[in-house]
Formats: sequence, structure tokens, C-alpha cells
Amino acid sequence: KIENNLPDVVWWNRILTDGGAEMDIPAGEFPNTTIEYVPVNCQHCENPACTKVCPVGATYKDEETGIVHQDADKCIGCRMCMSACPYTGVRSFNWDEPTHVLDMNIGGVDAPEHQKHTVEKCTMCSHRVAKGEEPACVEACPARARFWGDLDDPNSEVSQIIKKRSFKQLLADEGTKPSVYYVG
Amino acid sequence: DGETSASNAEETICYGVCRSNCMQSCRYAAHVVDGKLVKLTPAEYAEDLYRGSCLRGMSYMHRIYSPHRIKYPMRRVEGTERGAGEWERISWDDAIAEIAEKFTSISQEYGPKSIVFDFGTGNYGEIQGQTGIFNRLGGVIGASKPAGMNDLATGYGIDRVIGTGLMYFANEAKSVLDSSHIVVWGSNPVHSTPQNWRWMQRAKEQGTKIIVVDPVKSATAHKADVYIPIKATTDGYLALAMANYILENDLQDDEFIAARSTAPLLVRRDTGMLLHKSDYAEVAEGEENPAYVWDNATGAIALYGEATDPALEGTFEVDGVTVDTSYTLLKQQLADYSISEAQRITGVPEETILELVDVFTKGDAVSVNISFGMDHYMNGYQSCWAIAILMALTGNLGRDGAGFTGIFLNTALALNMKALWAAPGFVGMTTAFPMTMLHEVAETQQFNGEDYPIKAMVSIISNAVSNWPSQNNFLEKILPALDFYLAMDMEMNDTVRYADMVLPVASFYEHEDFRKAHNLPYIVHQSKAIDPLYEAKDDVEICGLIGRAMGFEEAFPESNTFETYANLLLSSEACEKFNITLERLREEGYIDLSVLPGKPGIVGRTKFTTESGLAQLYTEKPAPRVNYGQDVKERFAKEHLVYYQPSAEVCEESEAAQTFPIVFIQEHSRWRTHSQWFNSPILKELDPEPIYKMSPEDAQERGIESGDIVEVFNDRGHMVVKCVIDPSLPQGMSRMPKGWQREQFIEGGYQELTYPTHDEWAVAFNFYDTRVDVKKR
Amino acid sequence: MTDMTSAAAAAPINVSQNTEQQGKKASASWKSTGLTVGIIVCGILTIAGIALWAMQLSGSMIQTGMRNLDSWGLYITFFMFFVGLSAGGLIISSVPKAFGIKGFGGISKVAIMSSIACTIAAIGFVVVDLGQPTRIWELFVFSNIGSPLMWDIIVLGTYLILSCFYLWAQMAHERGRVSDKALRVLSVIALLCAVMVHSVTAWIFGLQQGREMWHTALLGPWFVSSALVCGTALVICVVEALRKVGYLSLDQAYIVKLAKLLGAFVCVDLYFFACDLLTEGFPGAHGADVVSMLVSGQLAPFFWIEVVGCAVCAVICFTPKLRTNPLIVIASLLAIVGILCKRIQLLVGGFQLPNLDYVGALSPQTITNWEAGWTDAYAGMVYWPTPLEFGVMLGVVALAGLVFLLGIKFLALQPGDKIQAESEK
Repeated sequence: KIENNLPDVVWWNRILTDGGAEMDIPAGEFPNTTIEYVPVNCQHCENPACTKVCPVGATYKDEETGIVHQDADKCIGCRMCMSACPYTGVRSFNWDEPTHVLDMNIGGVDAPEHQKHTVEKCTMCSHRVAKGEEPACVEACPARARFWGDLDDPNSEVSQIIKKRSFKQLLADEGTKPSVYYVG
Repeated sequence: DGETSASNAEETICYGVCRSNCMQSCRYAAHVVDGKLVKLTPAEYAEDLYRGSCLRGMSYMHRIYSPHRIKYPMRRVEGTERGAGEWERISWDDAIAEIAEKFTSISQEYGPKSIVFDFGTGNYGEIQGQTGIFNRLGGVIGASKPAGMNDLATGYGIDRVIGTGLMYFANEAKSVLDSSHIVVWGSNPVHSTPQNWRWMQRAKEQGTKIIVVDPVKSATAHKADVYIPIKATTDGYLALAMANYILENDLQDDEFIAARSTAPLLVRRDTGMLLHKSDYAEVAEGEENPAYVWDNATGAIALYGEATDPALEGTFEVDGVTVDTSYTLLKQQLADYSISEAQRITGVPEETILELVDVFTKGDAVSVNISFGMDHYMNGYQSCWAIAILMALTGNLGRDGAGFTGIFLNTALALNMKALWAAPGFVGMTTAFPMTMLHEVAETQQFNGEDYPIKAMVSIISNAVSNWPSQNNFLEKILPALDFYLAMDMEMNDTVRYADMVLPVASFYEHEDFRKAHNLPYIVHQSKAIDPLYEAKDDVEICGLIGRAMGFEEAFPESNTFETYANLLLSSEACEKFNITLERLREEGYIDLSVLPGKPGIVGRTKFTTESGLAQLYTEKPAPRVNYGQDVKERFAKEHLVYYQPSAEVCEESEAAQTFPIVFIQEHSRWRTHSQWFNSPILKELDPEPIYKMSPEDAQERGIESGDIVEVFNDRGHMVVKCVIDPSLPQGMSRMPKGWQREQFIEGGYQELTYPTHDEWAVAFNFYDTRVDVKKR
Repeated sequence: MTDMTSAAAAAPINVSQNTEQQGKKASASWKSTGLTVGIIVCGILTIAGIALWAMQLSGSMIQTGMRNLDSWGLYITFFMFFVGLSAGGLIISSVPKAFGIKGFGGISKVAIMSSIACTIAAIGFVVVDLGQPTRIWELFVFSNIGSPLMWDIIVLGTYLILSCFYLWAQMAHERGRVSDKALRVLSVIALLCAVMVHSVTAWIFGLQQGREMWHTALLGPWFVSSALVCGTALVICVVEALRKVGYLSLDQAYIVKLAKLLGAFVCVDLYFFACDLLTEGFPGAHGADVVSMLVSGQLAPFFWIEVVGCAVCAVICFTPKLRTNPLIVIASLLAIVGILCKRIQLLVGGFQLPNLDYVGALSPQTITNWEAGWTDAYAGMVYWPTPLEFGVMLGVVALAGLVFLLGIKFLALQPGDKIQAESEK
């Protein structure tokens, strides 16, 4: 959120709780309770549902990096993509004029701009990736639970990890072929 | 758009270290654009897993630029009540003049001790922080400094066995990679010390088993291999019963006990003291005074180390004095602690206890992650002492992967505190009584029957109103006694609200400092990333201004800068040995202090820091942590050998338990460190308001549902808050993520509920030893 | 239900005026006063709607009830509904011509006019829903032909143009400038286009793989059947209104025929619904949630109004004894309300079941009832419009009324033999 100077109350990457009825609350009965955290941001699908339905091509997939982009300057605000995306909530519409609690821009100097009445979402920190850096969430994860890399390169760290460890993909049966793997 | 901003914006990066009291020390790269700190990103350490960050550290600029930041010196408007929120802006000159005038006149009329310096834990910088420059000022004034009481019972208890003082009991976090088992006992590193958790997670990936013992199914318990629920405050009993079972079934680590513990040392029945060389021979001051053991080979006593076959057990007559070995005494002491009784008291089933026994006796190397969960109860030090005894008997101390982890502090590098504190004209601060007694002294203006006026107080990087137990005592007894209360802070927290004057202070990134890191083997530099905002000043400058205004020119000459003080502090033998200089710190950012390069720091790798160098099964000369004139004799005889004592309020047999059925603990969440970040707008997006969490059973009995507004109360105070039902709590337990300030509650505040007394020996705050009841509003 | 009254109000008034002209019995003053009042009222409502829309744009869409997790609302519901209504006119007017059936000729042009008005309303609803309407030109410059919304825009545009052309052609035909055959061909094309419009609109939803409730192949035919239901029902209401004022003499047999037709359409529509529910619910997976949400969950009121309403409608239409004119009108109204309920179910239902059954932090942008917490935000209907949205909606509906009334006023929409007289005016 900081890296991309996100407006107040806008989140691209939400940490959801698979457990009880509230955030951070487990399911079940003491002591046999269970809780799992599911960080849900744009899944940068191989077969994205959003790009197909955008009437003006404001959301599109970069074939080289696999990043699904969202062009705020082009977006007409029809929200077709939000309806199409099965991972509800990863796309965020600026229902209000974007405001920032601090009277200044924060985050990366090349962080994206935010426009009212347009859709935005996780860019996989494309501005950082372009400089050869990791996405901010990977860098910052206190638990080192996030890995990032080129899935097409069989020798990359991420490819190795999904080769060795069990994983699941969110809503795999939607056929979107998400590029985010949740490893067990 | 992107292009123009990129070309205009010149980003410079400098480095610093987060210094709140989370007991970690993440290093950050501060990204500065146009003189503004726009981003904090985790910066590297030699050991990559030490690199890290959390929501708080990363969002620190939201505190720097917060709309709630205190911008200039302010004085409470004359004639308004404390806490009424009426402030007038004053100039620094006026503020300093008034402070100097008040301090000087109060000091002249009532003596310097009537001025109380309250140091908090908001900044662990060596110069600008808790142990920094303000101690120099307090020292030349001769002010009172109540003995600190935070988080000290754990170390005090463990010290009984391994002599590590109050804060040096833990191995380096990295050491868990060598552990076969990690027992997380009453702590929640997933939320409170992620820097440590990373290593445990790594160890777990390598096959280490993680077992959590906790009354609450914490986030860590959810990530662990085994979770053992236990009734709060009964941990000590569990450990002692396990120890006894181990001894009875001959499962102990004989080799360790013989070689590294005080097992064979003989204890005189007549005095309770060890039989020392000095009992028979003249021992000069400073000369070693070893204890005697019984040598089976000769059938007589011999000095430790000189016997060929020292008896571990037995009772002997020596010149008409009956002596027992320490081990024998411990065995006798433990004999009463049975597994079946443990099941009743702790609520842990026998078979689970035996499984845990297996961990300690069969595990290759067990580390116990311990922080300040057990610490926060009246019997905290006994619990930790008991666990230390269990570790000693099973040989899980002082070697790779074995021992305590939690709060690793570096013992290798001693800084020259004396040079920093003892300025010309130094008289020293008086530490006559602990923090929990300040309200009594202030109310009666007496201490131990003698006059002890308390007239002024200054809170330095401290939010005492919020973080001292029994908040109402502070508001109703301490504040009315004060003629002048000065607070220095960045934000309007509880303490600042009740002050007479407030000074705006510089944030972590607005001044230079360095920090001997908590939980890391490094000393880390903080460079000044930006100028202090508004009229904020750093501690060095404020201290100098007050000091000179009070006439302490010699201690605070105008020429003294941060560098002067830094060089004083770094002028120690150890600094020389490690070649630590300010220049080097500035240049390299951080310096590795590892004793054995590449190997994690292990407490007692060669010997323990006890008098004998051995793990003590018997404490010869127990001493209270703070001596404030209490009757030490009464319990002295009892303090030699570990024992279980029920906690004051939480234990089921207590008087409070009859009236207040629910235990209330202040959970350390990932949103705040104590009360720091209490008003961070970006974090409040995710965690907007105080939440009281209670068990489904307790809620159901009271007809309470998630989202209801409830009143939580006991006979000391109350709070009115939103409630959430949390099945990770067993019936009878409740908790609230701490850090919220009074104005953020619907009514009252959680710190009203805690009690203001302490154990006479541990002299520590007992925040968790609190019972409450709840009703729906 | 405000929408219904205004939508229903618009049509009968116009038609009755038309009838007056037909019968040449009405006084000139009624005509001009009534029409002018109508135009003024619609004009005021339209302007009010535009003002509210301006407020929505300059303020922000946070004033609507829509949020990230329920990102479409009343506007898109009414978009669907008006696309459906627009069918009525064109189908009723083109079917007889395309298949050479006699009977509705008298109201043919008025019907097309209502079709045009409804299409304009449908487009209007898409426009007011856009966050950046000033970028609408991009649709033509950066068109992504793969997007169902793009298809819909093309088809709706074509439909609008075609309707206008069809209206012109009918008028021209009456003047003898267009041949019977050409008109008939045109009628077939118009009919096909109407079917396309509904299918494509359905695909806007049906091709969204992300929504359990929408993602069904049946949605296309189902939209067509629903359009037929409400289109026919609308025509019945209109015709009955015309007869009631006595300006139109239509054989009862036609009404019965229309009623039977309506009954058949309603049955087909219900049948599709049943097929869909069975397919959703039978495997017992997520689809079962859809079924229970509709049958007994948050959307049950809408579901049961639709099912019962349509069933009653079918009973009335098929029971000779019940086919009295008042009951037939009631049946038609029930059908229209039922289809509106169906639109609501469809739209809200798409958002009512979160795809990811996890909870997290909520913000004012996340979901309509964010302050209620996760469970309660979904406890009732996940979305409910704000007054602003109702206002803008009324404005768009009024715009349709305005277009229609202006058409009545300035175009020669009465039957052929009156054209001369009208054009001399």
C-alpha cells in the first residue's frame, strides 16, 4: 500500500482469514480451532477473465512479463472487469476522489497515480519489477512467506518451490489459470 | 504523470533502525524525496533472515507526518483541568525558562528527589533513548527515578538458575536452527516478534517440531505442530511436576547435572548457605571462594573441582554440621509435585504432560521461546525459574540449539554508560522505590515512614498513564500531588493529555543515533534522514537547553553535540576491542558483534554467569530484584529452592476469582507496540478500534454477541468497548489487543483494570494477573 | 416500484393521445395540454436526473450504494429491464409484418417509438453507470471487439438506428415510398436484431465466469424469453388502455391471442428458470447456494413475487373463464413486475455470494454495509440503492418518456390515413 501510494481505504492486497466470522478469528471450538491467512491480490492470471471483457482494452496482459495491467488513463469506469474477475475485491474502483491522509505522496517515486472513478489493482509492482526489484510485498513480508519470480523459467526459485511443495490456486476451477500459487 | 514525477523527484536513501520496544531491531532504508521521508523498506543485514520489517516499522512515516503530531511546545491553559485538552502554544524559550524555573524552585524547596524522571521504552536509541542523555540530566539534578518494572520477572526467575541478570538469558534467534524442538512457552512470536519467528519457521521447514504451551490458542499455536492449552499462571507447576517425574523415573541428563550444575555443592542445614572455602580458611576480598562437595573417593569434603568422585546426592555430617547436596535438596523439594496433581492444577492431561516430558528428555536440543507472557503475573518469576530448572535437569542449556530464546541481548559489547551519564556535577538519580509505589509515595508524600515529597515529574519517551497498571491511581493519586508535570512526545497520548506542558520531540528518523540491537548480534546506526518537523527537537538539544537553563553549564556546554555524547558512550574497552567508532558506524551502517563468527550466540556455552559458573539448582543468596526496604528475611529461606506459588488474582482459588470469573490479558498485536502507533491512520484502516475478545462460552452466558458493546469491569475500574467472540480463547479467558488510548474507548480504559501491587521479590508489573466480569451495554 | 409506475405511466398516456388522434374525437385542448404537461413533467424529471448525475460525477460514486464487492447496482438492473421492455414494441410491431399476421397495425409505430425510448433509456443507464463518461469516445477508438459490453454497445446502437429507420420506413411505406416486401425484410431484420440485443445483454452477465449465478449458457435464451414476456405484457397493457378509453376498437380475439401468447412466454420463462435452478442446485456444490439464496435466502421475496406472479399470470392467461380484461391487465402487470424482480435477483444475486468465502478487513469502499461487519453485510441484501441512484434512475426513465412524448408531438405516428392531415400541420 505504501509503495504504491494507495489512497485511503484502498487496498490492492487484502489478507483474508479462512476461519471464523471475523478477521483474525479462527473457526472451530477451543482448542481445536483453525485459521489460515489468504493474501488475495490480483492473481495475474494466465487466462484472465478481466482483460477479455474490458471494452476499451484498459486492462491487458503484458505477454512478456505476464503481468495484468490496468491503465487508469484509459479506464472508462464500466466495471466489467470487476464483475468478470472471480477473485472479488482484488480490483478496486475509486468510488471516491482518492485522498491521502498524509499531505504528500509516499512510496516509490514512480508509483502509479490514482484517479477517481477508475478501476485499479495490484500491478505486481511493475515499476519495481522494471528496475529489477522484487514486488514490495515480497520484500516486506515479515514471515518470508512470499516468493516471486518467473514461472516460465523452470530453474527459478518459484518454479522450484511449486515443484517441491504442495500448492493450491485460488478458484482453480474457474479456468483463469492464476499465476499466484499458495504453497503448503 | 509518471515521467514528470520521475524526473523531478530525486530520491536519496539513508539507513536507520527501528527502535520501538518490540524487542527487535529491524533496519530500514529511508527513502527521502524533496526532504520528505516517503518510504521505509527493510534494509539488509549480513544474515538475511534478520532483515525484516512489520506494519508498524514500515508505516512509521505516517507517525512522522501524522496530522496528530505535536508541532510546538504547548502549555495547559491556566485555570483548566488537567486532561481537559485546552492548550496554548508557547515558544521554546518560554517553555525552557518555565521548566528550568519549576525544576529549580521545586528542587530548592523540596529537594531534587521531589522531581521524578520517568523513562519509558519509546526509543531504544543509545543517546536519544531510554538509557540516553536524559539520564545525564537526571543525574546532575539528583532527581528520583522509580525502579523500572516492565518485563523483568522472566529474567529474574531464570537468573536464579543461570545467573544471566534480568535481560541476558536468551540465545540468539538463529540458534533454533540447531534445535530439535522449540517449545514456545507463553509467548506469541508470530505477532510480537516476527524476527524470531522467521528462524523458527525456517527450523520447522527443516524438521524441528514446534510445541506451544499457552492458555490461549495464539497465532503461533495455530502454526505449531502441537498446541498444549494450559490454565493461565500454572506453568510453573507443570514444569516442576515434569521435573519431578523426570527425576523419579531417572530420565534426567546426568552428565549435564554432574558437569554443569551445582548438584554436588553442599548446603549447610544450619545457615542455608553453601559450605565454602571461607568456612575453613581466610579468603581475601576478590579471591575465589569455591564451595565444597562430598568426595565419595575419600569419604570427606573437597573443594569443587578437586574431588575425584563428587557425590551428587546425599546428606553428610561435616564437623558437626549437617550438609546436603544441592541436588538432594532439589529432589526433596520437587517430590511433592506430581503429574496427577499437575493435571488438576494446570488442566493439561497426564498423557500430554508425559509427551512434553518426552520432548525435554528425548529431544536432541530443546529451546524454549519465552518472553513476557508468564512474566506479567504475580508468580511470573517462579514459573520461569521452574522452567529453567526443568531445562537444567534435562541438559537443555548452554549448547547449540538448547536454552532460552526470546530476547537476545548482546553481552559482548559494554558501552560506557558512566561516561554518558556521569557529567561534571553528577550526583546520581535516587531509585528508592519501584514504579508501582509511586502513587503511594505521591499520595502520602512519605516513603517508609519518612517525608518524601513528590512535586514534579517528567515523562521521557514514556506513556506512563497508559502503560502503568491501575490507571486510576495515576490519575487520582499521582497527578494531584504534582505541581508540574512535563511530557515529551510526538503524539497526544494519554500521558501528554494529562500533562501541564508538552515538548515536541524528534522522531526516529529526525536525529542521528545508534542502537545495540535487541535480538540481533549487531550494533546499528541511525542516520538523520530528515530535519525535525515543525518545532520538534531531539533529546540532545532539549537536554542541553534545560540543563543550561538550570545552570548545569559544565554538564551541558553548548559545544556538546550528538557526536560528543556518542564518542563518550563508545569510549569503552569493549568498543575498542570490536573497533566500534561513530565513523565506522556511519560508514558501515551496522557492525557484527558475534563472538564466534557465523555461530549463533549461546548463553553459557562454556560456563554460566553464576558465581560458580554452574547452573544453580540451589540459590545460595537469593535477593529481591529491588530493595526498597521490604522485609526480605521473611521469605529468604523459601527462596533457595524453586517452588510453585499460585498467582495473586488469576489462580482459581483467589478471592478475586469468586467475584470476577474472567481472566483479562492485554494481547500484544501486530498493530501497536505498547501504546506506540495508537493513532496511525494507515494501521487504523485495518484495525480501527479497541476490541475486547471473549470466549464463546462466556459470551453466551451473558447473552453477548460479536459486535455488541460491553462493559468490562472489576473493583478497580472499567472500560466500555466493542466485543468480538473469539474461539481461540477457552472459557474464562479474555483479551484485548493493547495500545489504545483512553479517548479511543467509549468509556474508561483497559489499564484501569490492572492492579498496582507487585511480588516483593520480583518487583515487576503484573498486567495479566487481572480478573474482570463483563456485561452487555 | 417507482420505476414501474413511471414506466407504466409513460406508455398509456401516449397511447391514449394517439388514440384520440386516430379517432379524431378528442379536443385539441386535451391533446396539447396533456401532452405539454407530460413533456414538461418528463423534462423536469430528466433535468433533475441530469443534475443528480452531475452530482454523482462531481461528487463521487461513493454516494451510490455500489462498492468493490457489489460493483453494479440499480443502473445495470434497469439497463437489463429496459432492454427487455424495448423488445415489446419492436417485436409486436415486427412479428405481424414479418409473418404476415394482421391485427396490431394500428399501434405499430407507437410501439416502435416506445421501443426507441426504452432503448435510449437502456443506453442511458449504461452511461450513468460509467465512472468516466467523458471517455466514452474510447469505445470507438480503442474498441476491444472481444468484450461482451462492446458487442452490446454495437448491437444496442444498431438496434436504436434500426428502430428509427424502421419507424421511418413504416411512415414511408404508408406514403407508398417503401414496398411491402422491403418492409417485410426490414421487419425480419428488426426481429433478429431484437433477439440479438437480448442475447448479447445476457452475455454481458452470462460470460462473466466469475459469478456463479450468471455463468450459464441458458442466460441468452432466457433473456429473450423474459423480453418476450414483458414486451407482450406491456403491449397488452397499452392495448387494453386504448380500448378502455374507447379510442381503439380491437377485436377481443386479438387480446385473447395476445394473452395466450403471454401465457406461453411466461411458461417458457418459468421453464427456463426451473431448468436453471435444477442445473445449479442438483450437483449440490456452489450452485446449491444460489438456489437456497433465491428460494429461502436474502432474495426470496423477489424470487417468490416472480414465480407466484408469473404462475398466476399463466393461470389467468390459460383459463378461459378468467380471461376477463381487468384480469388480463393484472396478469400483464404481474408479468412485468415479475420480470423486474428477476432482474433484481440476477444482479444482486451475482454479488450476494462471495466467491472467496474468507473474511478480512472492511473499508468504506469494500461493500455497501461495510460498517456492519462481514457477516452482517451479507446477512440481508448485499446491495441496496441510495436515494441518489433512485433519483438518477427516475431521470433516465423520464428521459425515455420525454423522447416518447416528443415523438408523439412531432412525428406522425397515427395510422396511415391520417398522415396527410398531420403533416400539413
